[in-house]
Amino acid sequence: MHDVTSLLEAWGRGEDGALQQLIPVVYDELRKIARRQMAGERPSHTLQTTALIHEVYVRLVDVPSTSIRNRAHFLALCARLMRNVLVDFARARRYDKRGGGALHVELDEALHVSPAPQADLIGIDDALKQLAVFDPRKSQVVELRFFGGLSVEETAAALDVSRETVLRDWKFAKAWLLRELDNRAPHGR
Amino acid sequence: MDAERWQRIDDLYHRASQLTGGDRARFLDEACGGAADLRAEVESLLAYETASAGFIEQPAADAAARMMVGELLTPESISGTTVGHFRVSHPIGQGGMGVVYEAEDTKLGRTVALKFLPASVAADPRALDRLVREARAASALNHPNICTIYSVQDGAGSPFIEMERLEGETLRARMTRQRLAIDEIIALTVQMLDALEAAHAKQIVHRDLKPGNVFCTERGVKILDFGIATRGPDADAGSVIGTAPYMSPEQARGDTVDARTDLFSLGALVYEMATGQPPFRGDSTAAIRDAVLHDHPVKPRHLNPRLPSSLERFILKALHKNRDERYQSAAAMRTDLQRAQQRTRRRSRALVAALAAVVAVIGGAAIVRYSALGPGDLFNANLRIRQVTHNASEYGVTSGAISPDGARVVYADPRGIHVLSMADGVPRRVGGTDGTQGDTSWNLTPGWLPDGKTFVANLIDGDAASASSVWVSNAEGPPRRIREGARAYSVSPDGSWIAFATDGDRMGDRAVWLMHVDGEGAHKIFDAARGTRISGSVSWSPDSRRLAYLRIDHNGAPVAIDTRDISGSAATEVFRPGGSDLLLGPAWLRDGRLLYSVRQPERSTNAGTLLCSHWQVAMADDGRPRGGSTPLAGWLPQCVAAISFTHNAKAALYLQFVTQDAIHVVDVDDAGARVSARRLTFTEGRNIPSGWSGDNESIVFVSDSGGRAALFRQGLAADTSQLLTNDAGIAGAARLTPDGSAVLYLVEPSWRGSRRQRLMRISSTGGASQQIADGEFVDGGARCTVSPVQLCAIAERSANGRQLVFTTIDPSNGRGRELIRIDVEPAADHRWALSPDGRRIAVLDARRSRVRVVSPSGEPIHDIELGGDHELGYVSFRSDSLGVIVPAVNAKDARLLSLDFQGKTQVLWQQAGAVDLSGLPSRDGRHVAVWVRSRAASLWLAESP
Repeated sequence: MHDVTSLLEAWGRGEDGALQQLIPVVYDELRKIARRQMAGERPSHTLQTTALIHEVYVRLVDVPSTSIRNRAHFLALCARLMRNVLVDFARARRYDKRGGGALHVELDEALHVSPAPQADLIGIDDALKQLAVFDPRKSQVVELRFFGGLSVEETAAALDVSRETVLRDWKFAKAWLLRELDNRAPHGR
Repeated sequence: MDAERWQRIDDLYHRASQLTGGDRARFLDEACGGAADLRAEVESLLAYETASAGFIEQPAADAAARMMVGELLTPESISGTTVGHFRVSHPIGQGGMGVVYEAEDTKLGRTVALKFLPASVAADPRALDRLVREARAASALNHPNICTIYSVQDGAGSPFIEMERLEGETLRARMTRQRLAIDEIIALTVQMLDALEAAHAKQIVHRDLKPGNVFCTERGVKILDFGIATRGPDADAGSVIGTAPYMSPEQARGDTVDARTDLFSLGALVYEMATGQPPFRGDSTAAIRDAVLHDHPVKPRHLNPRLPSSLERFILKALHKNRDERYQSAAAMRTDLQRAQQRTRRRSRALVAALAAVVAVIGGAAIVRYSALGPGDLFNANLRIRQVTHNASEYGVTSGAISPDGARVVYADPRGIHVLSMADGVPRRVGGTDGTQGDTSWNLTPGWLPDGKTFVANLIDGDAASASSVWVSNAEGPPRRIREGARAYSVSPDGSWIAFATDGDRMGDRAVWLMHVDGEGAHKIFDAARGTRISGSVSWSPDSRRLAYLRIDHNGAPVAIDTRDISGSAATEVFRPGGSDLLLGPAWLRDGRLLYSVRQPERSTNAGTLLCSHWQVAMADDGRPRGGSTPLAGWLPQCVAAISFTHNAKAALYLQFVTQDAIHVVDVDDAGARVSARRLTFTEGRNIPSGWSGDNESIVFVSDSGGRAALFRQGLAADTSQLLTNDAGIAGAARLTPDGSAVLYLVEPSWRGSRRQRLMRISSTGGASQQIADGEFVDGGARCTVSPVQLCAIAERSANGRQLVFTTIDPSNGRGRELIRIDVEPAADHRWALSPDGRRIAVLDARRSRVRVVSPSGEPIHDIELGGDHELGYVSFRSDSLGVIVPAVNAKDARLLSLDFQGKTQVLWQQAGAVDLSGLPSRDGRHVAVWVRSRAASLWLAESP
């Protein structure tokens, strides 16, 4: 077992090298869980994503022994880690930049899909970096909620703001992000 | 951006979003004043307010995990893995909507196809939800020309659709390979129309009919991806609009679609089949869409002058831009196609056959339309299935019944009656056939009394009830006889009556009687109407006051399911099948539902299992149906025999047959008598010997043990076989050339409408195949002599059907000269053989159990006729050419006989329970490869979880 806890702490202290070691561990864990779910070990109607993320946290990080005593801080760190892992994953997979994975088959038999707005992890990551420049809190709200899988309450606690502020930031950030992505998308929508 | 301005945008955005319409505009006018760029910024964000409502609401890990699962599902990674209860084998196709794999359903033991949806769909919960809903709706479609969807499974993040495994090629591949003949086009179109009619009746529109979604199989057309190729009518407008060259104008415009949309697409398909090109073409999707909306297609007859003008009118009407001007229903379209066809009938004899297909299809369609009824309890997709008995094929189970409380199963096999406790799974024999006279067997169809402790059994002797007897046992000791000359059907739910038959013939029973469980109080309740019989299954209503039974005609064909009061008053007809569909049942459940099954003649599985559609109808107390029948969509795919239910209908016990082939090697002495024997093949499925290698050391045979038919070679001392070829469509009939160096095998046409088979040659050590002839061959392909005589021949029917025409075949150059014509009965089923010395041809008329042996100049040499009710299935010559080897099979016995022309008979093989046999002698006459097909029967239990 990798000492994920100390790696996470090291990364939290700003040691970037730790992230490079963390990513493959978390990624493997995600894959393991995905594979298990696929094999029907835990049949469920949908992937219980929040549970999945928490399972990764629980399996990887020895919470009681960690010096990260503040749960909110711990979750924020996990969300940041997850953002890195997921964006890295999306990059590695070169998942369609439009996010829809538009089906690309020959013209003759082509299905013409205009995807519903959905996650373009790389695009969102890029846009969030931009957002963080002039509104770090909104960027963090998105990071915690979208990448970290945190609830509104957990996000509010992690940022030490009110529930209403989180909801307000969330709403604005979503409209802003979608507009950003839309204006960047090569094919328009 | 400066922070103050950003803050202001944020503030204005939230305040404006609380307002609507004019209020919002007025607010922005006031708040922004003359700052046009500020206002534009806020308005552009507000424009995304609605669109972003659902955006990134699903956590990123959700999309990522689904993508990961999708990534895990690469052809390499998923092949050989187990997903749920499916063992995934290998990818068999790839389409816009995901990769399709062949897989084995380990619960049901059947081969299925799994279509894993692409990660892009899986990652979009809304698209996924819509798709799953539609696939579930489409899974209710049960039609021979629609690829059946068995289930839709979430697969925990890797959603897939479980469907029927098809063998064949897409219409796209079919059209690419060869231009279709007119009669083929009509036959294919009729089948597609029939499928559409069935789907449209259930309000299911395909929306993406195209050559890639139509599969041509040996058993006809199958349309794939009903309702799953595209999104539903409630999808966002314009989100998916179909496949450009086949899309209708309304789809191109993004309008709503309906049944007539499919009829347009079908018209485009027929156009392409008839002309070789789609009606609307263009360099880009936009250009094609434009053509669909505005252009008139080139008249089909300009592209194919042989096309009848009536068919051209048919196509152009189907392609009308305005859907009100098109055919309004699949049925109307089919009627017009028939008319068009009749007009051209004189021109093409072949059309007659296609028309017959039309009539047959119409006849068969009549039973498919029913309204919806509530869901069943036992009959759902979560069925748990397990095998209860594991007898060898020689001791196959003949019948069985589960006790009303589900605690015990009683079953019969050739050794006697056994009671099995479901708790420990251990069977205990309670009665044998010892002391009974003649060739008798037990039958446990009547089953248990309501107490769950006593069962009723029949001792069967022959077909007639008058020769059988009814017995009762307390499940501890042997049964005791309660009535002679009777055969029991079933026990009433209240335990007071046994329904039984006393008199009957091979066709069925003439009357239904009742008696008490002690054999007293017997009385007849009704006689079957003149010219009809009662079939073997009679079922009781829950209140024990009525009976449901199958009425058949004197040919044994089902007429209807009736119910009747036990006082014997007039019968009430519940259901009458269309055409000559085989009907099974009825079974009347305690909750008042009546179940019955209709055999689907178009479908059978690899193991030769018959497939059925199963139906339920709610019954009123007066024995009349409350409404229409509805399909039991989640129930078993196959026809089941000897079914019994527990009281709560949570479990059902039934008999299932599995066909098993074995090739044995029999060693014979100089006189041709059997000396010893051993089994060569042990694989499941069909294994049919083709011939012996030149050195007599190995046998070449066709086997579908690997899932599809392939040609193998196996040494006499070897445990395993070597694959020679698995050419698609390979048929069972293969033969070795005189020197044994090559195999001539037959490839069946892969689609309906053509009968032309291809005769192929391959080296007996494997390698590339080569076509040497095509045609419609009698009794599968070529026959060859044995070196030094060098002769191979094929048989074909003459144009008037009254002669078999034998032609030589050169293994390298194909057809040679005509050898001989032999007069035969036109409609009979003929088998034939060529003697190893090339001096005799044997022709077998399977119906008449007669073998004629003639010389190649046509002189009759011998006539062999076998008495009794034996059926002769195949014929081959002895290695010395001085006799034939034929199977003699009847209900009780199966033997393989070697008959010499002096009248001497030797038995090469004998196996009760075998259903088919044949023998192929080695070149040196020292061995005979014996093919034995048997059917192993086991009891299976289906349970609701």
